[in-house]
Amino acid sequence: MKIRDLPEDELVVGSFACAGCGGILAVRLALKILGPETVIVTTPSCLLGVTTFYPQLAFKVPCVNVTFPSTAAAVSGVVAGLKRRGKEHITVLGIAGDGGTVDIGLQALSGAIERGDNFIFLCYDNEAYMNTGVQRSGSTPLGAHTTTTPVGEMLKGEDRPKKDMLRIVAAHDIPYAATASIGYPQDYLRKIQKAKETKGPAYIQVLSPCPPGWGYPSDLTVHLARLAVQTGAWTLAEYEQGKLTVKKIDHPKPLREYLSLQARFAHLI
Amino acid sequence: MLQIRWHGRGGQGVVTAARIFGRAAAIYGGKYAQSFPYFGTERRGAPVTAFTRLSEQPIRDRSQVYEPDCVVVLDETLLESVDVLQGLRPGGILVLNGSRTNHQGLKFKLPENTAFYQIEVTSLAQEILGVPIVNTAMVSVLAAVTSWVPWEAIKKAIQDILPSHLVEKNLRLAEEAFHRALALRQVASSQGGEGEPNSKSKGNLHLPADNLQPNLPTPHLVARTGSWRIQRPVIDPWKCNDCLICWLFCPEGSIRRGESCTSIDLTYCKGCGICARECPRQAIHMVDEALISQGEGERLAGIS
Amino acid sequence: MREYLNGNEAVAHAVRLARAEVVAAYPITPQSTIVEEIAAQIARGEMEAEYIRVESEHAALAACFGAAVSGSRVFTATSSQGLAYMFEMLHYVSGARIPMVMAVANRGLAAPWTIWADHQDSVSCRDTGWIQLYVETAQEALDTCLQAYKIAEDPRVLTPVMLCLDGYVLSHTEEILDIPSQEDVDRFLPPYRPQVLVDTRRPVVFGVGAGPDIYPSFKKAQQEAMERAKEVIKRVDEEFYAFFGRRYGGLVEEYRCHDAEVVLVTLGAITGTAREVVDSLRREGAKVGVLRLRALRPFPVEDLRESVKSARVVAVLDRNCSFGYEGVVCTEVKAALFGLKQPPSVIGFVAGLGGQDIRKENIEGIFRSCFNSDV
Ligand SMILES: Cc1ncc(C[n+]2csc(CCOP(=O)(O)OP(=O)(O)O)c2C)c(N)n1
Ligand code: SF4
Ligand code: SF4
Ligand code: SF4
Ligand SMILES: [Mg+2]
Repeated sequence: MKIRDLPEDELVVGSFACAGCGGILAVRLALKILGPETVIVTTPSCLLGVTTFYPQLAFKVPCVNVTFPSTAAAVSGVVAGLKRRGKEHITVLGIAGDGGTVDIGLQALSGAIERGDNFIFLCYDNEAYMNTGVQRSGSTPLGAHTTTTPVGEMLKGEDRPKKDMLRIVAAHDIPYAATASIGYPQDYLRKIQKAKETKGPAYIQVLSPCPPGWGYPSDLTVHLARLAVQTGAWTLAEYEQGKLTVKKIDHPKPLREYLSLQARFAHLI
Repeated sequence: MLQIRWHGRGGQGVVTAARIFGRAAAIYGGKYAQSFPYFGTERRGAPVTAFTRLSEQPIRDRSQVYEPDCVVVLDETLLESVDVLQGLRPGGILVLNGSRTNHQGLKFKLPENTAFYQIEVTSLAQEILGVPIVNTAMVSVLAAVTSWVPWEAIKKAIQDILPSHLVEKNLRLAEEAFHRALALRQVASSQGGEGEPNSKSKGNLHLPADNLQPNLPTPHLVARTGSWRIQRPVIDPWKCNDCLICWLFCPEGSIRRGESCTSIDLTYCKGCGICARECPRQAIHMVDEALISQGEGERLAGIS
Repeated sequence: MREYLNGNEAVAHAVRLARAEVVAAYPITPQSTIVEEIAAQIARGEMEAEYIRVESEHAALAACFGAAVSGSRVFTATSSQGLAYMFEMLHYVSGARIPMVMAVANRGLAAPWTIWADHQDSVSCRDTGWIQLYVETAQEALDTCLQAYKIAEDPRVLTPVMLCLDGYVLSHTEEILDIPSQEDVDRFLPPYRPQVLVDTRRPVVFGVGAGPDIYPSFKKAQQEAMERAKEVIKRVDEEFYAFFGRRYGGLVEEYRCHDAEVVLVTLGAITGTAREVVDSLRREGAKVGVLRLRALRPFPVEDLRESVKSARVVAVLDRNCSFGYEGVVCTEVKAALFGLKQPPSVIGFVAGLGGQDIRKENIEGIFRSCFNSDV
């Protein structure tokens, strides 16, 4: 895939996201592949807060906002509604943050995958509840400082490992699931393309660094998303037809390189 | 009662400024005080407002401040998008952080008898803190030009509120800013730029009035986030080979591809700097907005 | 067509006749047989709809929301704990002005656990912005379900309707009723044609965020729609009468109220028993009547005032309790009568919680105590 072959049309414009927001970049890139025949279903998160605040709609595709636990349930409804109108060619794209996916949205997601509805679920993973001020989520990595896992005498940041959502999703025997990183756009866009072609549910969890939440200057967003993979802090994996493949990193860089650029890990360095 | 409105951008510590000033007055200044932010859903870089009220009596009013006695602006680039003077009382005080001597083209008109103080503390903050965060400096400047709160009280409040590892440097910054401000002469109100008051503008929302139908879903409308920028990317056409890496990675979709020439549309560009960092040929430079407006941008970017 | 069905089956038939296109529901007693019957109708090919087997009530309403904004007429049903679990979505659907119909087979709330009827579940949702209609018979459940779609989808209303039927007392009680023909229903209820829906050619957002400057306008619009719903509910009831020869009084249904000195205000199925008592007391010469509130929201202030004009005492029978005060309907009635020149006195009675049977003697006792009260 050549960059020049991607469509020039921008489908996300004028969001209120922070400068350098990885989440917005993840959504923008996904829409490059999915195109204008897409409906977004999303829930309270940074994404909702920065894109659909009256009278703003920063998407050039329809957007259905719903309550925090319900992304995937509303997705099922939209899929059924579009089917009734003979519009099955429209891609239904559920988007949630990591909290809206691995924590409060898990039950709905499990239900929708199990029902086998035709949709893509995109989890933009910034590894905490950013919208409410950087509280930990099930997706926060071990050791990370958040406002609810602070660093002090008694606690040194998050004390539990990150929830392995890909395996949870895979356990549903989902037709297609993958992890990706905005630092590897070719890989990410290929996976979005695969998800689009999949009949039935597809799940993609994309690492989307967050400058204020992780504590780094905004120009490092893509650099960190790449370093995370190069140091082994994040894996690029794919689950397809019952098989899990993990991209091997031949000469991993020292983890310190990744951690030392972020304030959330400052106490570990 | 004295009412202060603070203007800045998300991430600049505006809310903390309001709080430091209020705490100084209430705990160490023998006054009653109240401070509170106005939260929007915008993020870092977006305009943010906060308020401080001071009084000799207990303060019961909890509404927002509409007619401030004093407005403090932490970032002069705000003047282009926010009506910072809205409601400022005649005879009120405007304190502005910025180095622009030329306020031409700015959409504001000072009310009668405004005491207008201008000072540049961003470079001072950069020098002492290593980051351009000016909230403690501007709190000190306000204390110097108004004497509403004793200087000792301000220092104690800074110590109370900031995390301990930031206290020492911020006190140094505050001290320096305070003394520079004591020497500050009021800029005569006549030097304020002429122009239309832009009280009709709705922050940075582009808002055709006929779309305000409360019970209908909203059509595509966007916010012009370009006004958030404090640095702007400038492409050196001699170095650029149109590889489009910057286009791929720009979160705002602000890069234009063109047939043979990559360029940047600044309408929504927030100045995050990703393009500059990711460009394999180092063809993009980030330049301070404040300097751009003085026509020095291209020179600073090394382009002639 | 004459049939012998219980309230839940009657509702299921109404949903088929209304040509609901998407149904999403989660099982709970005593609602479950509504959606079981709908699933069976779909399986038999009698009804053409998508049935989404969701994993919770919260998801049921979210799925209905998604389907409705995509242009489908939708239906769901629940009871008690399920309704409580939906609470967040209730406000969401009404605030987004999504017209839909949900049947609530009324049941008490735990703890202690109960599966039996009272109105605590739906009355607790009084302020969620849904229109609430309470029915008295299985026939009325069927008819009101059809009316409810027409009310909800009226462009002046665009507000969801909760169709409340007492658990077991209506939901599981068979009686004779008439099922209208599909042709007649099609003429009464045109297809759902929302003005705005998910459309890639005209992108809009549903469930937008709103700042303090504009949020009140959305809420005011919602309140105004509720006010307009009063007229629409009455008109739709009359239209229904013109088509099918049955009507239910619009917002309130009076029974021998015109000269009554004591009027008993009721909600739902218990009204039938109260009618019996009124007849027997009338035979003794006591001037008594029953006023059934068909709508709890919008609250029929004007109709209520009119109906109790002759009354010295208004008794209110509540199958719910606002703990720390009194029955909710009693408070509402008092508020509605406040400011009248010579207002009747209002006496509240809380009874029939958690399926406790309310017998004729109990109602007779209420009337007698009202006559004896020297207010
Ligand atoms: C039921 C419910 N609980 C809590 C909230 C508050 N809330 C809104 S967004 C959010 C966090 C979102 O985190 P995540 O899904 O990771 O998205 P992010 O903001 O990090 O992008 C929370 C806790 C809510 N809206 N609804
Ligand atoms: S807080 Fe993080 S996720 Fe939220 S808008 Fe800012 S950068 Fe994006
Ligand atoms: S990344 Fe650099 S070289 Fe490539 S198009 Fe952008 S500015 Fe030009
Ligand atoms: S600075 Fe950021 S927003 Fe502006 S063009 Fe570069 S990448 Fe895009
Ligand atoms: Mg998150």
